[in-house]
Amino acid sequence: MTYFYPPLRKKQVILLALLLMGTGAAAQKKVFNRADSSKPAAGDATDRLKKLPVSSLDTAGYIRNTDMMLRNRGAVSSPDLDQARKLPYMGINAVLSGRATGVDVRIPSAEPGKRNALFIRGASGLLLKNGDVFAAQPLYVIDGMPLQYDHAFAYDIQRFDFNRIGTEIDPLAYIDVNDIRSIEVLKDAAATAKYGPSASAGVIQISTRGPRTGELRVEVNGYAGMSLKPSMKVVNGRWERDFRLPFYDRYATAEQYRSFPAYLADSTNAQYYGNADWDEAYYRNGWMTGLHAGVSGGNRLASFRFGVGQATQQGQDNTLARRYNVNFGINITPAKRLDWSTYISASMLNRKRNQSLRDRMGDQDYILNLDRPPSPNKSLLEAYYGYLDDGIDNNRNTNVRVLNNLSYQFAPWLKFNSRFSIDYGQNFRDLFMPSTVNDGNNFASNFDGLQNRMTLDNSLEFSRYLGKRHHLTVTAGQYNQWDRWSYMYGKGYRGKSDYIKIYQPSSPGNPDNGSHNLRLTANFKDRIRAALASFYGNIEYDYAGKYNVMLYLRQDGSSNVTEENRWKLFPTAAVSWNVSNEPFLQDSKALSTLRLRGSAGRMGKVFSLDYYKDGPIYNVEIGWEGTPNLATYNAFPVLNAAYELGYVAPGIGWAYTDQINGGIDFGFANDRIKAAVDVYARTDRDLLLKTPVAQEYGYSGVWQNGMDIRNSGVELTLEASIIQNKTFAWSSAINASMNQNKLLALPGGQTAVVLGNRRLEIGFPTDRFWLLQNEGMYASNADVPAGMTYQGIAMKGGDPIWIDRNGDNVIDDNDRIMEGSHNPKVQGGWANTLKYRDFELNFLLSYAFGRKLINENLAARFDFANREGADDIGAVKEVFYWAEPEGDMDRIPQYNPWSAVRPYQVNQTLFLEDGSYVRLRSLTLTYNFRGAWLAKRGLQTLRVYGTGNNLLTWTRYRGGDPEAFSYLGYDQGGYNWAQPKSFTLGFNLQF
Amino acid sequence: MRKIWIGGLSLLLAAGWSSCKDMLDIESTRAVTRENMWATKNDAWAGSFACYGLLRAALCNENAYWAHGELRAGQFTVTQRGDLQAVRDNRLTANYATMDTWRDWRKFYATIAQCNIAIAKLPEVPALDERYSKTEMELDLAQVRYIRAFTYFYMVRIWGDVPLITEPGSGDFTTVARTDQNEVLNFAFNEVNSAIYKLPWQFDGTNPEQPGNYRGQGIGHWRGILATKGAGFTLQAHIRAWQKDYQGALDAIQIVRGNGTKTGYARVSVNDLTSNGGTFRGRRNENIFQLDMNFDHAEISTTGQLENWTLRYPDVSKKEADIFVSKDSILNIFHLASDTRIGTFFTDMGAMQPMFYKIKMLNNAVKNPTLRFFNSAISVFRYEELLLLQAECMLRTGDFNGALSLLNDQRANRNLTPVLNTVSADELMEEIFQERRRELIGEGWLWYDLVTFGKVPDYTGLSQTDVDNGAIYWPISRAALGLNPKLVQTHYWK
Repeated sequence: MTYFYPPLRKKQVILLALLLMGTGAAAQKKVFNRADSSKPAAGDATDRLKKLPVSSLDTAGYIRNTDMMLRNRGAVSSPDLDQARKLPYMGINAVLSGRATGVDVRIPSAEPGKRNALFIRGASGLLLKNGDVFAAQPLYVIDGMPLQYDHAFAYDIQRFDFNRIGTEIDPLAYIDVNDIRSIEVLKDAAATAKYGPSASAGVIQISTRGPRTGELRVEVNGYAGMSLKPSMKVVNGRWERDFRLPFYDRYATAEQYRSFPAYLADSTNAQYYGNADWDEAYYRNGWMTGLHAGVSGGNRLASFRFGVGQATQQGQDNTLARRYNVNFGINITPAKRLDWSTYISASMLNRKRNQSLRDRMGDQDYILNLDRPPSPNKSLLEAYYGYLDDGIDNNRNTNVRVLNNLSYQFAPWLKFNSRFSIDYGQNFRDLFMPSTVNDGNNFASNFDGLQNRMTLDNSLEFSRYLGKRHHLTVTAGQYNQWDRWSYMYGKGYRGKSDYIKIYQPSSPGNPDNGSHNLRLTANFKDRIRAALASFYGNIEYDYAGKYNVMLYLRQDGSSNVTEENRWKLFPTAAVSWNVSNEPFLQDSKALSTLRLRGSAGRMGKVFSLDYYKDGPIYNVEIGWEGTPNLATYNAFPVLNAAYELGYVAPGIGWAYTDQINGGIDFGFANDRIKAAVDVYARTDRDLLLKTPVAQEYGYSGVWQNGMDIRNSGVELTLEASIIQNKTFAWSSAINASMNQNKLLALPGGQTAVVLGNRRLEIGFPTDRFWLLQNEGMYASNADVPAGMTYQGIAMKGGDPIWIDRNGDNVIDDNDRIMEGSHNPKVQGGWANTLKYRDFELNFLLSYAFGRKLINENLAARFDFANREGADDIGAVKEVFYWAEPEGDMDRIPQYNPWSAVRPYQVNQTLFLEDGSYVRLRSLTLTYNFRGAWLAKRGLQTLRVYGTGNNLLTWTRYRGGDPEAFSYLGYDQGGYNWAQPKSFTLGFNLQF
Repeated sequence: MRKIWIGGLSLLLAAGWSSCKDMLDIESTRAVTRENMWATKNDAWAGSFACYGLLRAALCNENAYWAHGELRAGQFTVTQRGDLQAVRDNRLTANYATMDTWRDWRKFYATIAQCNIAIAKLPEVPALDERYSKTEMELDLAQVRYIRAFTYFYMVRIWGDVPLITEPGSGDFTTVARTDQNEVLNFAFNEVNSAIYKLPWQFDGTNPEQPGNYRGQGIGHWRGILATKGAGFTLQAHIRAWQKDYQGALDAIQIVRGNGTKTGYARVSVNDLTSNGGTFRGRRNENIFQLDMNFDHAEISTTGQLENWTLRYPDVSKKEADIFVSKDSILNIFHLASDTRIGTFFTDMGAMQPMFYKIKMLNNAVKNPTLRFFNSAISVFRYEELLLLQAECMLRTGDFNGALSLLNDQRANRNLTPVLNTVSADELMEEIFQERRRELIGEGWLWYDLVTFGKVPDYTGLSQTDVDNGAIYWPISRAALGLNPKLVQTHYWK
């Protein structure tokens, strides 16, 4: 069956659209009737208006603060938004993928509206678990206002880290791309230093289409489209049995034969040997729609913009994301020399999540019976979805942002600016799983997370020409930031009825009142506050537009740093030489632009947690594997030295980032060809790391400063307007980013440390897999070299040959090699725009080379002996288990799967594959309407377009989509949804 | 007008500048710093009970208590799990995450470290908080000493020689080599000795060491759960028995036996042993020392209990249990049909795999259908076990008749015919061993009994040479070895 879901709540959306167009048209009419809307009534104001200069930004629309203290210098790249706006992207990160240099976008699962990640110039810090991704995210800044990112701390109460509890909604999907004027990726210290310690991992600077001066203008943008369901080689029990039997024939003992899974043993069982058509219910062609409208207008004294939008995306497995957003901005000049801007934005995002068993068990912290996997049969999957309909899974994020900016001009050369912002977000999830799908016990939980950030920035800027050619700008300012994240999480197991979808715990003495037994409920509450205070000064000197020197000094104090080390000075310096302004090049048309840039700077890095500042701490940690959250012994609360969290060394100080960057910008043939090269080295220093220590003191490790990691690389962009004549034009832009990292130091002078399944060694990259090296299989016991063991277990025929690198006849961690990384060596994109008369064709190819992935899904398939019926979340089989695993199965030797050496363990070179790819990310065909009839109907712009996304992929990776893998580089099969192929039709209209 | 603006703006600026002095002093609301700990009665209570909690965590972690004490002995059959099979086959270097956990001693040393801190810090608290009396402090301190001693005793049984650390760490994490196990055991013995004099026989308010209600709760809350004199002497007896000082063990046991009115210890019937309110719920007179779990305190868990391995359909939605005792083994172990334990310790005897049903603490609130939250306490020392230890020690010190009568008392309670006094001493020893095996099945004793009775080669694939080379111990984990160069792996596991 094909799902052609109409966009839900279609009527409301159409009504809203009509309303907007209607009001816009009505307003327009009113304005047209009045001859000139830019003429205000009061005479005094008219006078003032005359004196006010109107800049190009004023007419384009902006929040009047982006020009002050926020000028861009240094290494910046900005994607072509005009194209990206046509594409059905809900989040900002997807816009940047392949379009901006130095950016690595990670979308482990294309579930609509789900959080994803972006790294600028490589991840800043280590990525060892999913929670580490949070702190490595860049700072997102909207109109000078630093957004608050979600916090990873809720992972603390979780046994499984697949998803953070809560909604896991992408916080960057709040923003409608139609409300954005420009996005800039700030990379080097010269560009990012002004945002302080939150910006050490880079900045994504977003400027909205703010209030604009001019006649009232209405814009309406809309699209509708469909994502196509992927094709699968679905199988039933017979395939799996045929896959396993050769292993049984070759190796199984009688005991192992006996435990051949019952669901595969009976070939008459229609549940597992019947039709394998689950994919028809699991995957669907998903609708996607978006509608946005904006109204703007006004004059230099008062202007506004109002935007409203809606977007919906359907994904496979009944998933859905729907966003509503409204924003309103005004720029006014209430008094002479005073500019006041206010911007208010509110959005709400709802998400329907995937129905995978693994994620559900993770949510419940409870492992259901795993004896029998779901059936590959569609009717049974549909029945299961039917039961789930009795449950609740509401995921809603709301976000309100308020920005207020005042600037006052004392004199043409002296300005004062004060910026105040509030970013407030709620993260709300209501979950109820009925007993019918939950081993007979229902489950209810509720997560209510709140976060807010308040910032205040005051600055004074002196800017004036001293003589004709010397221009000096001196800025001094102060910045405060207050952050707070908190959540309440409650859960209740085994409610009395499936009709009661809340939980009201019983009283302690009487388990019969209330909906849940008190003892089967749990409540958690957590809160983190952090503050940052900074003073900064900037001196910038420019000589005749040729030489520019900048020195930025910033003193930061963080509440998360030990008191004695709390304040630290962070300097940044930048120089640039505009060679093309020199007399000898001034008139050159061949070399129209030549600019050399250089910057070096040190920026602080904030700690995301608040307990590193007072030495060793006490915590409640009397839980154990699988039961992390016990808090009492015989009903009495306990408090122990934080053995699990680790020993916090006293005197922890700032971690910081040193970055140097050199760049050249070229322009040839009157800038018809532009190129930029940036070379950088970013060194994160004194990073906090928990390293294991002698276990005899009980601690899992020691937290201390002292890890240094360097990311270095080269970035290239080349843009050319290749053909440009009246009817035909072709322009092309290609970008490439190369990044590599290296560990420079570890705390306490250590040279190597093993953390989880990674090894870190000074002088080597931090992102390498740590793998046993395969070299075939011991065919028989006789082939095993005498005394060869795997960690003391004698190896036998049917075991893998792992290379004994140190020759001690023992295969263990010392024989692992650090090889391959999920971080590509080179990545980027190639965009082309072809114009013929009113048609425009645009396509973007994105690519990554030198990426290696581990096909964990394939490993799991071969490791069936250890995963069959095991009471372990790793043994979960989802409905998508019933598809042939993607990967080169013939390449995998037939080891003895029951061997105690775990022949099919994941971390071996056997499962390491090249994940390089080239992908046709987007293809857009646009028709721009032109002609007098437009104006007659009061239309300024009308264009229609069609897009196709992810249509083609070239890759050597055999494990499916080369972009669908976990943050740590493991391809987990059906859990990592590939970005779907999709087609949309849309229009842009302005009147 | 202009002045107003300037004035307003400079006020705004001033507000921003002055506020940042205080704004950075934010105390964590998530963790307690060193300075803020060990200052009040509540700190002392929480800090001392953390020792119990950490010990429970170490023993429950991946069911370590049973992996160490029960599984190695081989009387349970493993269905599918390779890691459990590896333990049963004594392949203790096998590569499983759980195996790493069982080899690893960090959680035990966390218990030790918490005890070391508490022992150093508790004496300072009464001066800081007058609500915390010196008597109460002494009582808490003695319990902490007991836990530390018990933990060392447990560790010696698992790893043999272990580093003996008795002071709180100073943060420099100095590495320490393994200490001879006799030294460790003697330290533990002496610690118990000093603790015993501060511990009551029971926490019922009748002993001078523990006047009134302990922490506001009566004996009903504490019976069998906290360290008492009885638990102390029992631990001493086991330490001495492990050192093969059977007279020393007997001396300790006799003090317990001689204070029956004070301890209140009593034998348990088979029904009470296995019933839902029975031994594994605990707080009963047969329990000398239990590590508590309790549904009414929400101290329940899906992991860390033997039930997680032994229960299956229809009690738990699982087709087969991870481990079971095969029918042959049951008939072999409980060879007398009159034994009342056969019917209560096992169920579904007609099936291919009978279910081990001695421990099945499923509260009514989590039954039908089962929600897998178990709450059986770990019965560390039980009165029957002590009596059988006494019988063993009596026999080893030459008191044949005393041993025989103790054994026959126990057998009578389980509806077995008495052993006749015509048996030889060796035969009687075998009968005592077999009775321990029957009575304590599933309670984590058999492996240690195999060691103390010298039966490891008879019951496992290990030879006497292996035993002499240290095969009875677990290998030290790779992590511990890697982090402490002074550690030397046990000879057998090299």
